[in-house]
Amino acid sequence: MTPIIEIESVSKKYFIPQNSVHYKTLRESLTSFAFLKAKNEFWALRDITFSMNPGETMGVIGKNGAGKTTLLKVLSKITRPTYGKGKINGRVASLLEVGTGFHPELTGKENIYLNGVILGLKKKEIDRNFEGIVEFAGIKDFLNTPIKHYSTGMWARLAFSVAAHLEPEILLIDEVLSVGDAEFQKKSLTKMNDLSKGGRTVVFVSHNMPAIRQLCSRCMYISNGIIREIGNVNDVINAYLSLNKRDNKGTVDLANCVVRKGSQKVKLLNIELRNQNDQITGTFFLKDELHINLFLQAFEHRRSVKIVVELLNDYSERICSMYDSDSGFSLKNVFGKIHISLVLKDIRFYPGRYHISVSVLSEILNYKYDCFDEIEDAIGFDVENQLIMDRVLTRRSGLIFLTPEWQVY
Amino acid sequence: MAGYEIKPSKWLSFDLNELWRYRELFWFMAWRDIKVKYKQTLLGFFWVIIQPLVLMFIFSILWTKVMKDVTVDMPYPLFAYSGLIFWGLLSSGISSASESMISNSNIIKKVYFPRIIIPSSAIIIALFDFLMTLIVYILMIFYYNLEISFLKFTGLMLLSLLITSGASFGIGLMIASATIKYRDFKYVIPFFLQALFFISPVVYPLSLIDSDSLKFILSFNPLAGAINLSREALSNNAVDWYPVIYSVVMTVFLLIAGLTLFRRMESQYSDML
Repeated sequence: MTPIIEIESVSKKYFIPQNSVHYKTLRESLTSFAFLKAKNEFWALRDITFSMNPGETMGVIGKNGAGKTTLLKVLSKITRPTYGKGKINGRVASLLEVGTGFHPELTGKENIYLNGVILGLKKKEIDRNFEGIVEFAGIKDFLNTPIKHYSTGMWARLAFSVAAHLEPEILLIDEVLSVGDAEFQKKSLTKMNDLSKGGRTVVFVSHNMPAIRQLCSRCMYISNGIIREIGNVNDVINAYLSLNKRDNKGTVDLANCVVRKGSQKVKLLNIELRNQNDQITGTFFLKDELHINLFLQAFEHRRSVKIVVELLNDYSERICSMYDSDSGFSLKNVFGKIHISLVLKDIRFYPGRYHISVSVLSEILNYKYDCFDEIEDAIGFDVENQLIMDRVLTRRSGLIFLTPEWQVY
Repeated sequence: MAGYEIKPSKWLSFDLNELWRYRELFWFMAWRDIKVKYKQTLLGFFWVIIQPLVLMFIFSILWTKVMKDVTVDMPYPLFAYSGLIFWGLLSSGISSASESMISNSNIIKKVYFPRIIIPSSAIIIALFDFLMTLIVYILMIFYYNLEISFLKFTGLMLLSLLITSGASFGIGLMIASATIKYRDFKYVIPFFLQALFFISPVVYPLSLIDSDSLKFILSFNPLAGAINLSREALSNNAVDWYPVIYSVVMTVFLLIAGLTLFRRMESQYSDML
């Protein structure tokens, strides 16, 4: 069988401007001798080689910033690889988001056509599938209403419904299922299952491991732009989960981390997690102390700097956003190296993997602020299963461990 | 089978087969722009007509009060209006084409299609507006009861339409490519258009300029050629083809330069937007 997708040593390099100003102004280029400065190179993909036969469904997993979306962008020709080559032997539809090109002023009907054509459908094909799209989305009564009046749910249903009626040979999907409510996600998963059973070749990027297990015949684990594992779905997912687990030394060097936002005028250099015994660790138990030590460097003098630390669980659900001001703390007259420590006494998280995201912001003036540095999932830690009194706490038994005062009257 | 190859970018010719496959997207993008533009306006198409008409009145009054000595060989309102509508086509073509890449960046980052579709479909809305103003122009010709040759009028108007839209596409492509890298170019557009208005014979005849060398330089302005042509379409004199040739050459040059620059930057668009 000839492969429908053949990728050979594909690499993709991005340049990250030194000061991370997203759009250059001409003046900056002219006055800063930008051409003399070393640019930060960032290899989003390195030497990716794989092939797929018609009808296969490939899951792609990996951390945020590992290169999953870049891979889809290269496959769909949205961006060109720096090196390497590939061959796609079929009609491709890429779904990097649902509802690409939706215009709020246009009606549902008009948007079905516009979105369909943008995704690569012919007008005739949309005509033919129109009834089906409207029915699947369940928006029959609102066809002639501008979609700015739609609810988020209706909007997402309409968008997915157009996408589900694409009839390409190859479908590239990025985290589409993360939109919409649980019922809609279930519906779209079923639809995706039908699509892959119908002989489509699908590349499916997701953090949703159960969905990957259910839909995919093969799986690929990418980290730092390199294929770490490729093959049997369960093997690769287990490798990913256990690798992720081992990666909790309790300290991380972020000085050279490139997956970050902000101007880096105040930069997060590293993070250390310590317990009540002052040991650096990535493993904690219920009721332990968690000391989050942030090491920052301010490259210019700032009157004040705001810090936000967020905790997320393994399903990317935000457990809490901790602003320094919530605790009455604020960082003043900042310059040079700074060490801050946050102490959470008596942590009450159920067993599982947790992720810490950190943002360093300027002071907020008129609801506006500058972002100096923001790193998602900068470091992770585990809360271990343990025996509490007469039972074992596991990650399935809840989110937050509370011990109220019980009384009987 | 409609497959493709993935390879590092090189800057060569446009893939015409591919462009043809994406023709529906071109029309849908143009249709969307027109639809959205007129959807929420009370007076709709009238806005497009009112703008050159109001300017025409203002300049007609100024002309009779200030420039009494200079004469043009047709009623002045008609003279000014023909200049104003072609200037309108050029300026709205340039601004919509040059803004198009940034205003559609969300689509460009998420879906592949030949990028040239975006700025070229943006020209359609300028052409659409132009056709609206052209109707008024034709009504004015009837009002002034001018005797014109239908064939000559249609031919010359088409030629000037081609020159103007070609030039605005070329310039628009250049600014669009530049704006993606340097956002400052956005601020250049209004200034550039205003300057262009004054150096083009929009409201005055080129014969007003008595320096031959200056006249020569100004005749490279494609808009000057286009506007002159549109005026000659109304007169019975023989057409002076020399300035036209300059304008055509200049337009072709702008188109080639715009396409080359755009093509060169094309592979980087989704990374830089």
